[in-house]
Amino acid sequence: MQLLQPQALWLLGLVPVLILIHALRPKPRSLEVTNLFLWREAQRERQGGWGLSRFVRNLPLLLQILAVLLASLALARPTVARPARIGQDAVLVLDVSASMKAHGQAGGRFDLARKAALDLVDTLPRGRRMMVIEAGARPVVRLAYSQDRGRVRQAVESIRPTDAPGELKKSLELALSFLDPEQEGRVYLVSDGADRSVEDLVKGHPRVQLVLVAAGRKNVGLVRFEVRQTPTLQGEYQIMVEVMNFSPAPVLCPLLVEVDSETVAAETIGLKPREKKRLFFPYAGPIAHVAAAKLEIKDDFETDNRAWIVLNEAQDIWVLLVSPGNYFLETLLAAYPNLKVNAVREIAASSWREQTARHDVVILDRVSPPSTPPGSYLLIQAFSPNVPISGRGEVRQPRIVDWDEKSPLLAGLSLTGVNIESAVRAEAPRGLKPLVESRQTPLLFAYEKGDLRAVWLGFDLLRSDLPLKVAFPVLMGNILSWLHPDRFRVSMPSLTAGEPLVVRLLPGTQEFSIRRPSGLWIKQMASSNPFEYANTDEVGIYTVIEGESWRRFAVNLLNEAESDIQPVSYETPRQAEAAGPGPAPVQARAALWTLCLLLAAFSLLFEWLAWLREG
Amino acid sequence: MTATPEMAEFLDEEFLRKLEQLRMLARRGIKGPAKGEHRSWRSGGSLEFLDYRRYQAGDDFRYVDWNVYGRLDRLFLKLFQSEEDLTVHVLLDRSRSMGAGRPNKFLHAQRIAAALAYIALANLDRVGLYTFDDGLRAGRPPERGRQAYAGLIRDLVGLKPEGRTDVSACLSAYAQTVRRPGVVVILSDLMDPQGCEAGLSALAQRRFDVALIQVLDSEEIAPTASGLTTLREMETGQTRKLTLDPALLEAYRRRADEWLAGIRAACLKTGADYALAETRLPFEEFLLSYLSAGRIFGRKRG
Repeated sequence: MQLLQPQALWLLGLVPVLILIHALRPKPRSLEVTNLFLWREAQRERQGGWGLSRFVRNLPLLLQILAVLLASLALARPTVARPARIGQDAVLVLDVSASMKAHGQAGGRFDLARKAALDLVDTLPRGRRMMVIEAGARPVVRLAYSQDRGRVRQAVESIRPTDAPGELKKSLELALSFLDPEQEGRVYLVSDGADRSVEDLVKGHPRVQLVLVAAGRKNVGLVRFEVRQTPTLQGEYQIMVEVMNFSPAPVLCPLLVEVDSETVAAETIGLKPREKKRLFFPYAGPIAHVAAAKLEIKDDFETDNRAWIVLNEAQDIWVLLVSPGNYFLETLLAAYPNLKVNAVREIAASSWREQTARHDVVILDRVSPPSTPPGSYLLIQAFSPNVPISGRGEVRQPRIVDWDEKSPLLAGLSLTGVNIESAVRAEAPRGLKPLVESRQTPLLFAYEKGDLRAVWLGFDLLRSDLPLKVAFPVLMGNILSWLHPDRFRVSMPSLTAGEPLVVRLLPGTQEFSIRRPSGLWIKQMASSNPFEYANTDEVGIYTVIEGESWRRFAVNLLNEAESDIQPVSYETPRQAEAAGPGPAPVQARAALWTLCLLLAAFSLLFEWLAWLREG
Repeated sequence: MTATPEMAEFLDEEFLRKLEQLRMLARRGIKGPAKGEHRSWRSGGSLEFLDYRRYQAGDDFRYVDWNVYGRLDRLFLKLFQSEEDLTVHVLLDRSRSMGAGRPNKFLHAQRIAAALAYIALANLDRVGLYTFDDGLRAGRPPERGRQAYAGLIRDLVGLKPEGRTDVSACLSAYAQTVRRPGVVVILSDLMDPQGCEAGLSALAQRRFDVALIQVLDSEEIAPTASGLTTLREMETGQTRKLTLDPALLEAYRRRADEWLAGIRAACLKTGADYALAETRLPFEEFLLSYLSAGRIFGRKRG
């Protein structure tokens, strides 16, 4: 039996209280008698002995304790496992995340998962329906509810594992949304359990049944791969590789790093169990194509043995700084070797459009422009008619209370303790989410529409101590990188498998082609710009060909959770050990709280009757 | 007789008046319908002719009526009413359980014993008084004459209920120690799970005329207490907690009836006379009905 909310067992603390109350109840009066043998016989005749009498005398207390026990148990939401047999409609969620590609002596994980899923399909009784959901980077409904067992089997058999990390929680939530709340339908998740984000849901939701599969244990994987320019030296780069041993035994693993198909580094790394090593390799030379890291090892999971980065030579970025004077900003911009800054104090309205067109990034510091034509802008306490953010008065000493750590604009920085003397009280459309917020007003927005990209900062840098903080250069670097990613970075940011590939198309492009890592060419209509290509479920280099030009994007796994292929169990270690490798027997959990509550009610009823009888 | 306060309370004027009434009643009982044939005869000089019976082998030839033999040519023996004094043994249970009851059982038994002793002494019988609990205690050997009454009463008054009960052992011991059997009056509540049949049998074997008077309080036969109660046995100190509800009280009454029936059956089996003296009835009322039935002094003796 498993308790979904064991903290409810604290209610058992009421038991000593009950016993105390019973101990304090009126004592029996004493009566001297000339014999006990007649009483003993009478008692025996009536209730079958003194033992039963003692039991009957304490029956109210025992029943009260029983009621408390049962109520506590009911609140703890107990469940028991029983062999699964689909009784109602069911939703089958099949994990196709990267870790399902792991293989061991018993076979591939996905093959085992598919077999378990098909076994489950075979238990579908007549008249009951089953839905099939593929749980990859995004949940995909492979088959709507169907009573046709053959179609369900066909849908399961057509599913293939991907190289993308799973989003099992989303898939489970989607599956649960399809269950009829009036029926006892169930969601059967067939997975290796690598995505621990669903652990609470699996344990806590009585209608979710996990079927665990396990195969393979040995794995060494790449978990990080980056290339950056050495800050002080033009033309010199650093390649950073992070390798982790997920195996329970130490390994020696040969690592090969290549740039443009030429070997930059080759060495054998010794890794203890669960050890992660970060390695830096210097590189000087032209970079224009692809850097690759390869682990030359034969393990049980191959997807994470390769990683790629698309490189591009850092190019000069022309920046137009319109500011009445900002020492910190000017000093910072001058520190970037590939930034060419033109600083002006005011806007020449007549030539504004031409000026913006000649620069890659325009920074408007406390100077509002007449317009912001397509391009990249940083608006510091400035407003543009093209950016739907307006100011309504001033806020004194706003205190930063929240910022979006997941935004690339705020990656790797902390705004704790930043003091701002005053800020503009900003108003923005509801759909525009602020990235930095104070209690009184939002302080930072990122706006993107068509070819216009803008970052809006709601306070004067000179009236805050932000420029004195470490966060300032990081924030500016993030902003410049976001405004002009292609030129600002040495490497194109690689995508995680399953993450949509955003393709910025040239004006007038009607169609373009994408070449997948497997070599498959896919022709796409330019239905939007930028275009989001979602099928990045295969690791490797994707090539986008648009007319005469072509670009490349790297898609990697680089995900520790997926690379960690050690068998997991949401049960106790003993149960996990007993389960062994291979697909776990398909079992369903039956909720017992209603039964416990019913028994508690009966206990109280009997207690009342016993009290009446005694009284 | 020097009267102690206890004796003064015991032998008040009312009590003595009742004793005299009972004595008169007892006298009528003796000379009334009970006078008649004896199943056996006693030899002696002061015999009053009672009847004849056929000679049987082994009979004493001295009592053959030769005149009848001359007339009828058959041997008949002359039978005589014995004028020998009767010995009345009063055995009083003084165990702790006798101290229970409202009114007190022991006091009730004492008064019955005193009354019976008075009547017996008034009839010139010998009266002995012994007490027992789990063993036979020292008592007064049989004495005759009214002058013995004062000492007997003094002994009675000085008694206090104590000790546990072993009725059969005590009766058996008494049967073995007494030289001259007679009427033995046993006054006890018989609160002994072992019963009294063995003791009664021992007395019967010694040819005692046994009169068993069981003194009980009405609460012992039909208790009325209710609710959660700790029962404590007076003699052993053992306790039991139980809820006295109507069902349990009814079960107790049934058990008590069965127990009393068992005692009656034992008496019937051993030839003892049984009487139940409930304390709720004044002792003189009990004795009135008891003696008027001729159950002690009017009984035919063998």
